[in-house]
Parts: sequence; C-alpha cells; structure tokens
Amino acid sequence: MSDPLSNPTINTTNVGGQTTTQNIIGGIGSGKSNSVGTPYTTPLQTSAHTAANSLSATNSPIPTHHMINSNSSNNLSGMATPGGPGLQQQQQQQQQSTISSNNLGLLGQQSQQQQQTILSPITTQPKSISASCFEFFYIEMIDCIMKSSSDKQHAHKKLDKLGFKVGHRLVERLSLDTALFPELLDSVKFICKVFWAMVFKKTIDGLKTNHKGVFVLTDSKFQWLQHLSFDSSASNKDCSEYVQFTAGLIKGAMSNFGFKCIVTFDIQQVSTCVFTIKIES
Amino acid sequence: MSKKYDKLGNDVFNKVEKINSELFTLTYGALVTQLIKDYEDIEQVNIKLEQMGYNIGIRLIEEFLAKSGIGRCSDFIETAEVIAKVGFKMFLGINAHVGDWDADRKEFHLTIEDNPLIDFVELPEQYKHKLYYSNILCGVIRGALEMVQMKVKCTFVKCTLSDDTTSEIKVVLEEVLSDMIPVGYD
Repeated sequence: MSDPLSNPTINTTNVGGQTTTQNIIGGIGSGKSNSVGTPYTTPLQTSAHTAANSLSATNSPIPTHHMINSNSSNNLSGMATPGGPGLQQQQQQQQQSTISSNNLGLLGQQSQQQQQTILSPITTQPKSISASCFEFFYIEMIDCIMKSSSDKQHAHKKLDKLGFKVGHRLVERLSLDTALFPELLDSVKFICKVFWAMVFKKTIDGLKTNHKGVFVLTDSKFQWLQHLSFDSSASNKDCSEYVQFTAGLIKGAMSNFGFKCIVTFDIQQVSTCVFTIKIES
Repeated sequence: MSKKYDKLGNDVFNKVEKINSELFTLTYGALVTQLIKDYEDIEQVNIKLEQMGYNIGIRLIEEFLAKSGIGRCSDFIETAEVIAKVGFKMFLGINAHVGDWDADRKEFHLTIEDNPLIDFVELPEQYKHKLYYSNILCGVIRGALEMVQMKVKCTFVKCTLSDDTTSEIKVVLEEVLSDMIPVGYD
C-alpha cells in the first residue's frame, strides 16, 4: 500500500483497464494471490485453481494490493507484458463490469486488512473434506427436501430457510476475528470474497451496486450447477432448487451482519448465476 | 496390508479437490434438524438418513473406484481395510479402524475418529441413544458395497454424541451377490 508507484495505477484506471491489469497480475503472481483469494485452502491448492483464482479476481483490488506489497517490480513488468494467463478471459469478464469507483476500491483495501487478520487462525486448522463428498450430499439433500414437500414453493421456502441457518452460522465462524464492518459494502464484499471462497473455492466474478441498497452478484461458474447433466428434451429444465439454498446462505450471512435483505436469483446460460441482494431498511 | 492402504488413502485424499468441512457439518446439521421436524418419529429419521446415504453410496462408489484405482478385493477383510483406510480418508479426510472381527470373518466394527459430521453437535437428552445422528454413513457403506456385489447391514452401535467413548459402526456381510448378467446380454 505504501508503494507510490503501483498503487495509483490500480485504483485510478477505468473499469476496463483495471480489469486487465488485475488479471495479468493475478496470473503472474499466482502463488501469492492464491493465499489471499482462498486463504484456508491454500495448502491444498492445485494449479488448476490457481488459474481460476486469478480469473475471478476481476473486481477485487485486494489480491493486487497484496501483491504490490510483496513484489512490486514483478508487477510492473507484468503490466507491461500483454497476454498474461488471465488475458483470454478478460474479454468475457469485461461485460461483468465491476465496481469502478476509487472510493470503493479503497474501502476494499481496508476490509482486506481486516481479512488479513483472520487468515491465520483459519489456516491453523485446515479441516477439510473432499468436495465431491459435499456435492453428493448436496444433491441428495435437495432431493430429500423436494420429495418431502407438498409443492415446489414449499420446498423452496424450506431450502431457503436451511440456507439461512447455515449461512448465519458459517459467517459467524468466518468472521471470528474480523473487526466490525463500517459500511454495508464491506459486508457484501466479505460475502463476495471470503464467504464465497469458503463455500465455492472461488470469489464472485462480478459485483455491481446502485449504492442504494441493491447489489448484483454474478457467479459465472456456479459450482453446484457444474455437475448437473442437461437434457434438452426433459420437461423439467428448471434447476432453481439447486440455487435456492445459496440465496438462503447469502441472506443468513447478511442477517448476521445486521442487514435484513431479500435475495433473488436468476440462472443464465449454463451455469451463470446472478444473485440480487436488496437491503430492506 | 493396513499400512499400504493407509498410504494410498493419504495419497488419494491429497489429490482430490477439497473444501472446508464446516460447510458440510453445518448443512448436515440443518438437514437433520429439518428431518426431525418433518418426521416427528426419531426412528423414521434414522431410516431416512440411512436411505439418503444409500443413494449417495451407489453413486459414490464409482468416484471411489475411479480415483483410488483399487481393483477387486481378495476377501472381506481386505474390503474392510479399504473402506476404513481409503474410503473414509478419501471423502471425509478422517481415519477409521477395523476391529472386533467375529469367528466367521463376516462381521466387523468400524471405529471412526474425528467424524466431521458431529463437530459442534450436542444431542438433547431425549434423543440420546435414539437418534443415530451420523446414520447417513451406514447408508453410504451399504450403498457402495451393494454396487460391488456385497450385501451388508450397517448399524451404529456406539456414538460419541450419546455419551459413548467412541463412534462405532457394525458392518455385517449378509451375502455376496452373484454377478448377474443383464437380461438379453450374451
């Protein structure tokens, strides 16, 4: 942060430019950005995830900022080189424009400092299970809830409630050593980064806001839809039940931060999910 | 033999994609709570959990065989070791021990350490010795073994949540199903 050279570069560029620089940097310093993107899973990371992380860092000044501290000279050369590993994705990601205001970027840095402090306790107890194990269970859980409910609406309500409980508790554990967030946006960013990373091992790909209590979160590779087979001839093409739980998760997490909100979602294309958080005053 | 599978289990677990176990623990807890609400009768909840496990097991075995590269086991003793050392390690990242074999070598006890499902869990007094909180594991073992021609019966005999000192699953081999050739297949 104290580096006078690189810091302004990141924060003052326009949205598109910012995206580019960050992608490149994320790709180059992959080892380092890893440890920021998904802190508690670091020892387990494989190279495939590294790539994913660098791509998903679009809207975050955070990994970049961290990088700058550690090896700024590398970064500068990285910026000059067109065509880092993340560049191909850049076009795709550009449409999901990110929070562009400098102001917000700075806020993000603040929250990053807070996040840094929580990294250590979590890394010390890396109790983990196989991701497929959870997914097997998740599919079965959805099935169980769908079958035990009288209609779809009822089932969705149940899933939402389940998600709420889990999200509420999960965020409690996650933010153990985090200082209180001064702003609503910081809470949302925490969800986009730390929370999302814990649940899905990636960060949210795009975050937009109207600064009036509405946030739009885009996940362009929603994990829990990845392994569903798609049968175009099937009558039931709606897989919203596999996403409803997540809406509940977000709601629960926000409620733990003291914000009551409505979360709606929309499944686009194959596995892109767009969540809309509307804060209720 | 046990050593060999210990190592294999570790290797496979290091290879697979992993997530933090807390999400799993909390989600499982929320689901069990929901089931208790839905079914009232605790015995029904146990059955439902076992059924869910069965459905998972019949799908999970495929991933297990693919990722671990284990071939056919020579006897049930080896099967037991594979379940304990590779199966549990690979999916839950925990160790399980095989013990208490009966004379016919058809029944053993599986002792589970550090079961991630029961982190943060405390059973209310009225559910102790009634609710088998981790019964889903029994179902998984049954489902998975059925797909490799072994019909087994799994029951929880001890559970740390019900004030026992260990968590133990009893696995009984009922019969080895014969390789059936699908109808119309020559």
